[in-house]
Amino acid sequence: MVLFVFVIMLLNAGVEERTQGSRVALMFGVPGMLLGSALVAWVVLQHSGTEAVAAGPWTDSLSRVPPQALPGSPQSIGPLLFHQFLLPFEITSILILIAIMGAVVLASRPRAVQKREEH
Amino acid sequence: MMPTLNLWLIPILPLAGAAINGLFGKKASRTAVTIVALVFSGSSFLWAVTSVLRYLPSEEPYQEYLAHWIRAGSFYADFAFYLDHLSVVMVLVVTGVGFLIHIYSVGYMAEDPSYYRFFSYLNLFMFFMLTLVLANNYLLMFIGWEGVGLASYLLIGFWFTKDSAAAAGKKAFIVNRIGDFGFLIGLFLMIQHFGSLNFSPVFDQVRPLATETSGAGLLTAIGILLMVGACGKSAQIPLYVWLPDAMEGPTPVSALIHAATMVTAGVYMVSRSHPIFERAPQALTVVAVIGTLTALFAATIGITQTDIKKVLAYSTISQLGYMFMACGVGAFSAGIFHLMTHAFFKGLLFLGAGSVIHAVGGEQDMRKMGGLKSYIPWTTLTMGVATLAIAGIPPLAGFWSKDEILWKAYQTSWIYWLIGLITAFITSFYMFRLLFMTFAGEYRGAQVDDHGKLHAADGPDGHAHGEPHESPAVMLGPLMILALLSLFGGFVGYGNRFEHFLAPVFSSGDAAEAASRGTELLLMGLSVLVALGGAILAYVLYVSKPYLPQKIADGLGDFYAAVLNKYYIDEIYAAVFIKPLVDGSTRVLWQGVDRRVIDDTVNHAADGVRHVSDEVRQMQSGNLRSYAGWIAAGAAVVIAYMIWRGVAR
Amino acid sequence: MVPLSYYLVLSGILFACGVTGFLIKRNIITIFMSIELMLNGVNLSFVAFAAHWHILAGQVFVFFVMVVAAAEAAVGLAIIIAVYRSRETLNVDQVNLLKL
Repeated sequence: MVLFVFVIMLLNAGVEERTQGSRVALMFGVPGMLLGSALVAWVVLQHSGTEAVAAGPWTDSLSRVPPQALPGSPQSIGPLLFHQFLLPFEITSILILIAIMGAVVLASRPRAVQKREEH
Repeated sequence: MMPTLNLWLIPILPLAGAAINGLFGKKASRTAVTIVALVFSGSSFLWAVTSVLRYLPSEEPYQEYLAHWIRAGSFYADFAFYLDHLSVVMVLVVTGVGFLIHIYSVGYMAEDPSYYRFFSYLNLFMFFMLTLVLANNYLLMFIGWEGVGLASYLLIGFWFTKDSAAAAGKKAFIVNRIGDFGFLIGLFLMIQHFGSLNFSPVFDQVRPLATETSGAGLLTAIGILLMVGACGKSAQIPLYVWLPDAMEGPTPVSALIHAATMVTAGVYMVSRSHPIFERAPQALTVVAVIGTLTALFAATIGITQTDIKKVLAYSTISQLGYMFMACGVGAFSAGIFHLMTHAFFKGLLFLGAGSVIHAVGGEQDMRKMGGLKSYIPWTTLTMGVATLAIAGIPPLAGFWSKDEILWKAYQTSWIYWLIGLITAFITSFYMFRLLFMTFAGEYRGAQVDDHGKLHAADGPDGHAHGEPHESPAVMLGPLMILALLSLFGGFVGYGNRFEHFLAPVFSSGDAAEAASRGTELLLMGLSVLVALGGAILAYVLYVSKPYLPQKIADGLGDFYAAVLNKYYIDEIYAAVFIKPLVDGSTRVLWQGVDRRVIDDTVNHAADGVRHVSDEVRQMQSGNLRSYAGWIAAGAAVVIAYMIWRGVAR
Repeated sequence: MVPLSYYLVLSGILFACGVTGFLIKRNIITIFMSIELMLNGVNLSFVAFAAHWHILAGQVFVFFVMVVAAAEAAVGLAIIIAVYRSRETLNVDQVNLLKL
């Protein structure tokens, strides 16, 4: 979110132009919204209740946690992160690195590039 | 069993000649082409004579197997040859007369630029005709049948740069094909019911069958269909219209193909199929009626024609009618006898007409001829012999064969005999008319030039001749030989000898010699009388009182005009058959089906694809939010599907 | 214990809001914020399931989702800056040079 605020301040775009509101959107949108909310409410009331745990690849001993323990303590997540999910962990770190470099390149000012070319 | 006669040489030698002349003739000299053509057709003739002499002592048909052709389950047809007494007659006629016409053509076509092509085609025709005659099964015969039709087309349209010649060639081939359609269906019926097309198995299966006197059955159907094919090939009603137009071809072609050999293929085929016809009396009646009517019909047209070759063409159609009349009353041997003598005198007539045309520089209209006997005596002599023969004056060949036919026809029904007699009168009349118009009187085509010399009119040949001159020896030789054959060739039939010769072939259908010898002599006398009567009438009308024909024609008015225009049959055919067919094809098949259905289907399919892609292209609007919308919609569909699957399970 | 379905409904509402904003808004930064909203809605549902079924894998997954979201936000914002420099507008309707 901080990034977003920085970008907004950087761009200094000004006031957004406003278009008139669409009649069609109102005609379809409001009933649509009401319908959607009704659907959601119906689903909520239908499917209240607990369900059993399904067996699957994520349910090995490391992943399981006694019910009363605090869910998601660093002590429990850490081993998971470095044993089972090591590969995704490493890949995402590389991904972040690439993203940083890419963002720097994409956002750099044209002037800087020209300056380098003049040398 | 007889040792092999190597019959296959007889057709193959002309084929080799055709190939050599066709492939190498263009660059070769005239002499080389001539030698090749004459050697191969002559050797074929010699080999045919040799084979016949070696075969004759035996009474059984001789079959010779050359190579596999079709083996399909139980049906088989091979390249195999068949020789019996009927084939003997046919093969000798074809090779003999064919060879003579080859010799004649050396002189007649000497100035033609496509000399080699003519002989190539002529040899090719010999090959196909011999295949037709010597085949041992209907399928090989049909190959020969089609092949002679092809050769006829090539030779009629030999001067194909002339529109009328090309059109005549096309007409001949197409009308032939109509007949072939009937022939083929007859063959299919044969395969279906007899399981084979070879002569021996088919006829062995036909012989035990009962004669179909009550109602039409299988054999009647086959017989009539075969007759349809014969009508096309042998120019009978209603498929005769191609033969007069075929006179566009060179005269030796008319002599060989449209007089002596190809048009007789129908008669040969009907005679060969005699076991079928003998057991189908209704088919025989059809044959006889068609033959008789054609004979009379064509003869009446022949009276009025002024082109010398057209007269002979209608005469051929008429004489073929006689042959079919003979077959139709069961006298197959008489029909074949007339076929043989007709080959002699009609071939001679055509070759003589060619000599006349050559003499007057290409003119074919008899009204512009006349008085030629002083210029071309030998031609006059030989054509006179031929005219006597065809008119049926004894003791020439035509008398014996025509009389045999009339005698056998009388034994079946006096109506056939009477019509045949009337036709004989008309035949004699128009043949003597031709003779007198061409050779007697004054030369009407003459133009006197500055020096007072007689010129032939500038004929279609293009070059002005001097006086009408006699043909070279190479053309006169065959004329002489054919004249001798016309004079003495009939004696082979004296006293039923010919019939006995063909008895091993036709013995099954022997009609009892019921009527008395006296009646036969009486009828013979009547025939001679009508022949002489026709001659005398022609003499009166064309020699002593030449103004009479025009007066008679004027008196008859429209009727004469109808006969002169061949009873407008060609025009009727054009209006009734050809025009609807062409129009229908243009409007329905071409514009309707081809353009609107087939082309438009393809075009509309392409258009449809283009429209669809135009619609789909709208998605690529460049508008990011619409892309976003499509992504969301697609995702929603996938999620909905997954939920549905999850719920269903 | 709060029933699972309440968490899921909330997650769904968040996701729906994100989608709606993504489709309707014209300002590109607002669209990005809607994307973030969608991702966080999904995170919520992951955590809800993890807590309900006592499986920690769900919480670990949230890590990865957040990392990817961050990377994507960084790159996307860099792109926005670049586009703004050439088109001088933040209105996504005016970035339509890719049309056929």
